[in-house]
Amino acid sequence: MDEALRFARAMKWMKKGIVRLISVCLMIFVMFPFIWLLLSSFKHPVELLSVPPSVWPKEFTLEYYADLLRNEKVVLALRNSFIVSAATTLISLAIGIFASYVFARLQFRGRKSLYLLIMGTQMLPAMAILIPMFMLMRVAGLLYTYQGLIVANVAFSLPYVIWMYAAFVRGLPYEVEEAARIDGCSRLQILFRIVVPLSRSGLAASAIFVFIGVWNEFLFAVVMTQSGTRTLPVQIAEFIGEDRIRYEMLFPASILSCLPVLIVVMIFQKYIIQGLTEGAVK
Amino acid sequence: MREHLALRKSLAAVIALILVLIMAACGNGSSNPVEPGNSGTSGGSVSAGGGRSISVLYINDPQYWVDQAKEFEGQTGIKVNYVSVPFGQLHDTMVTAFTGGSSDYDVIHVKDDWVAEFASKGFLAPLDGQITDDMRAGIGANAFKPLMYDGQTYGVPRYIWLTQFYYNKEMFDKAGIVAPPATWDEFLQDALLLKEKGVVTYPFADVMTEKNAYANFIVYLRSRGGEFWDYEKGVPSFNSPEGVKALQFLADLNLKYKVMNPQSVVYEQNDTLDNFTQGKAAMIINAPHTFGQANDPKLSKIVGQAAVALIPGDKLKTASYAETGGLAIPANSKNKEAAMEYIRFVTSKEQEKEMALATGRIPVNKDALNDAEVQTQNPHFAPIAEQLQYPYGIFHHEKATEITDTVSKYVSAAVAGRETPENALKDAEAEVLGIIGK
Repeated sequence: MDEALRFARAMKWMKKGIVRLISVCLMIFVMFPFIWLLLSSFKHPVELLSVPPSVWPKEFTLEYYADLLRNEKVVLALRNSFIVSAATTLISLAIGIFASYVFARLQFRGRKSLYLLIMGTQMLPAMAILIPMFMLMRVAGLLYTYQGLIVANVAFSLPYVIWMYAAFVRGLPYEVEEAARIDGCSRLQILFRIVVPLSRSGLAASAIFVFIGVWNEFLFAVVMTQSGTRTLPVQIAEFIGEDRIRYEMLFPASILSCLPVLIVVMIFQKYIIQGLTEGAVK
Repeated sequence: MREHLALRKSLAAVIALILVLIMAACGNGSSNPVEPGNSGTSGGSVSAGGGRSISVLYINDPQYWVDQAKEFEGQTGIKVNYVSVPFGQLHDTMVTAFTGGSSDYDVIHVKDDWVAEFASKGFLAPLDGQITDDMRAGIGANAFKPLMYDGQTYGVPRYIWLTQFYYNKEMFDKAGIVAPPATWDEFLQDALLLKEKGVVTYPFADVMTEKNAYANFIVYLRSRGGEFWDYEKGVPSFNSPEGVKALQFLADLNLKYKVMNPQSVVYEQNDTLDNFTQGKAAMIINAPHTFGQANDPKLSKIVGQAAVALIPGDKLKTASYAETGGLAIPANSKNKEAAMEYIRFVTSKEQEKEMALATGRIPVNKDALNDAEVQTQNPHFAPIAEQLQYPYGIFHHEKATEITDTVSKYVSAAVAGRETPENALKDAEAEVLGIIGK
């Protein structure tokens, strides 16, 4: 009997061990590129290029981080990326809240068609509308300005916000809204006093996804910005020169570009996960 | 509850901060948009200071290009709005701007194939009337040819991106090789010797990718007396006995003799260069920046070991492949006169010399190239005069990218052993004929 119990316990521990081992392997698999990037950002170029490559830096250096932070263009690009990403997020959410509510709650002729039409814009490859967008911005005088890039990004982010946030709104019990109406709330009051507070996790998740998307956006930024309005992904790409790729600058710059997103995600992590699961089941 | 209250407060604070920042930034952005000057005066936009201004589009690495623009400003008083983009995005940025009807740029960087592409679409202004006799004399008529289209000149050359043969002297010494190979047969013997003596596992690395294998394939093809394109008939000519021989040689280097790094099918120019500077290849065919990087202790493990020679030959003594980097003026530019002043300045003998010293690029100005200081600082320039006596021109066609992509795909497949050289060239030719509609 004791032996059977010991065997059962051993099996249980073994199962646990295997699960943990697989988890660790998966974690390493997922994290390895980032760890590699991080370690490489402390290496000198001659070590970065060495064949076979070394994982752990033979000599740690912060020289290139310092160069990067002394580089006014990089600091400006960091600021520009923040401005464009934050503005796009706020505008997309501000418009998206109303649009999502309309598609989730109101019944009107052509609702489905309109919804599909908005979603359809997501199907268009950004490359296909790059030149028309460029022409539009030029005619509007918004080329090479923050506003131009923000408008372009909002056009692509808004359908995403509507699609994601509408799912959260649909998941809220309608009875609560009805009760509020009986108590005399107007539509706007319902939206801001009932719907938005109840779906804040969905709002946070939508915001984070839009922010990350715009933070990493490259295609529009490269043709619609110039020196003063360059965003970080474009500035980083300038380290890929005609003569050589400046890995020693590219890697620290990539780490630098991850940090703000990482901080934002860590702060709002709980709400993102909560938001994602809510959106998934409701 | 307390948690929600805290979250709400912090969210409100974050949003308030963001709004303040955005309003401040957008205020700057809208009141002073960073847009190139193009107010429409014929001689150059009028800048805030009352002078003329132009916008120049190129790269900022090395920093020399930006400094040169500043020097021009200082000497002429013409303000330069220097716009840099990543080199890989240069072409697409221009295409978007030109297709979008923009007149934002007054001076752009072009190379041979871009001239054919842009001029055929009417994006560039012809420059024949503005190129002075002095410029033609200094640069030489031949150097202008790659930047011509349909009998008109659309660009002024300033450097050539010439493919050269680089080898590691120390490795050659270890293998007992006394001189660089003059023919492809000698090249193979040297490679086998380097491998046999254990000096290096793969003595040679080359660019044989599905995107860019065509360029060095043309070098091998030419040295055997073949050519890539028949410009008179407007059809490909690479599927020839010379072409098959050249491709068979490349495939053999990899598959039969195993002296070519098998990674060559995924190597781009940077990768073969890194292989060379890390002491993992004894021979490469690469561009002029090779020498500088091989001798930079921050980048290289073979400082003082790199040497350069003529590319080995066969039927011809040697052959090469070179892009011409030049400057052009977009047809939509409203500051053509000032733009031409800029081009004259940067292609002058003095500036060409400065460029060669600062960047290691090969100047097209003959006097600058032969300048004693330039030659001393760039020993790899020594064989250039002779190398340029043999075929080196880049392939140019309105559909150049599509054609070279196709040929590269098949060349790479043959080198990797997925196709025989005969079939690869036959299939490539058929596909290229389809592309050009013949």
